[in-house]
Amino acid sequence: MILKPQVNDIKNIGYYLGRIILGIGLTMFLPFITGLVLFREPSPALDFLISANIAIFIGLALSWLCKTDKELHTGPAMVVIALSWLAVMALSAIPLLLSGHYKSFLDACFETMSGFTTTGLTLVQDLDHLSRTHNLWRHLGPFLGGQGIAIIAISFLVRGASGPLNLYQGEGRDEKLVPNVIHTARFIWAISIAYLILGTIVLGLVGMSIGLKPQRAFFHAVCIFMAGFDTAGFSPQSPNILYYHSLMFEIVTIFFMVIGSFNFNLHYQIWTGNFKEIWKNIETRTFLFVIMIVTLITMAGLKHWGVYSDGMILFRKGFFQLISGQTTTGYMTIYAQQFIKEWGDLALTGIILAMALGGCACSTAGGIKMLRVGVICKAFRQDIKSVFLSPNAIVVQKFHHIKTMFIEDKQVRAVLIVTLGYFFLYGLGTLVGVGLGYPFLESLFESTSAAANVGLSCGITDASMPAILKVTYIIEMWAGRLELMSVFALIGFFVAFVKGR
Amino acid sequence: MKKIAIFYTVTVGIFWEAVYVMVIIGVGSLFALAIQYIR
Repeated sequence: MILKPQVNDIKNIGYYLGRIILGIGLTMFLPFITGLVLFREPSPALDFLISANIAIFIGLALSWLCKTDKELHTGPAMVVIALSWLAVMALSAIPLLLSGHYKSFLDACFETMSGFTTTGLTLVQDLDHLSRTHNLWRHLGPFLGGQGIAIIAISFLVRGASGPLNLYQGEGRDEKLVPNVIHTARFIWAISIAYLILGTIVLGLVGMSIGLKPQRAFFHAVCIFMAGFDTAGFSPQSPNILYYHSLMFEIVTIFFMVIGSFNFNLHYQIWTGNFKEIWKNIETRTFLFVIMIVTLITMAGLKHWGVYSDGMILFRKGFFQLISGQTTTGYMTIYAQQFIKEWGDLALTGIILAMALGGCACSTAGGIKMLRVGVICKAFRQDIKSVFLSPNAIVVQKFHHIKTMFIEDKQVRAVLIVTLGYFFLYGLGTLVGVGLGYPFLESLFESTSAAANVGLSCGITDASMPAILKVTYIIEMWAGRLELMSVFALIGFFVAFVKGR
Repeated sequence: MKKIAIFYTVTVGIFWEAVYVMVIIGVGSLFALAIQYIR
């Protein structure tokens, strides 16, 4: 028998949702103040004042109407997370819509969902003339969403024992850096802000060295860093990283993309003196192994079709796109159409594979994740070993992730369920794309890019694409970022609400 | 003194992360060069 949710559960959901919305409303004051004081753009800044007021009003009203001191349990926490991402998408889209650079509210919602989920697919019109204030908000989205919307709430706005922990886990993260989840959230911010300072300085200096004026160089630096470290792939200029035409800029960007796709727990270990962890961890080892395989496939494809013959160009065009796909960033040094018109099927397959597998768990990256790929490979090895040994032999397989652990069937089952979920998502978008008349490989490419929160595009994502495809990609980005579980919890909650007793 | 120790550990940590990224870039460059000469 399915139990109908109690009034207390609904009040609890409303209260925590209100706090998260309040948090997003408050963050809108950052582009408002920056736009007004630093960029001297009063009109765009006003868009943020309006949007912030709407969000703060809704947030405060929800928190006040649903005020409760009950603890938030796991199920309702997952519902809060799933709903909060939708609420944040809609509210953050208001200033973008007011900018006049989006054809419809749906397009603005697509942009904010793409930003907050660190995807990077964009539907903006005339990006090169978008105000700096709006551009800052586009890039701030990945920085906030990459760390996690729940992390903002846990760090500053939510108190309690189990509530913050359940919110944290509902966002697809189950690793705590330190025993206290609030301290974990704050440490995640500390890592991100330390790298934000370093990244802005380095990218700013590189920008100045290639001829950008200081103010412009540092504005681009902060935008590129936020979208690079948080594996989103947004850029303040429409040609993306190709705009800079600089090998040094590309190498520095690769550095921040890879660092951003690292597990926050790995950062914590390395930053607290456990330096050897970087060479022992199953995720970094799997990442290295996977990058070798996909590089081989992609470069063989590019060579076979004679796309790029020179080694340097193969690196700057082929390898850059591959790292961008593998880390699920989505930065590009080629035009979207080149994937289809020049790259050929084998190279595209390599890059689709890289996107599908993704970065590390508990990071800003998307996709299946290296931890799961590593565990599946180890479990596979264990099964093969057991076939060749005596039936009475007990085969144990270990892996190292922060500490050495044994592979258990329960763990493998959980990993396979999420992996299958991702394949379902990749398939869903492909099916809709093919149904709407797009070629299979292009549909698969774009769908994988959306569901794995990558942001590389082969040209399908455009303001003129059918609304049904925009909605499909929004769902894929949302479900992919939350690793499906919170979305299932939301569906379960509605089923219980309708059918429960 | 404690702050200096934390700063030192974090700096060395970032250095090792940078070394890992250089290995990744090295793999990419090596493959690109190797593929260039394969006919």
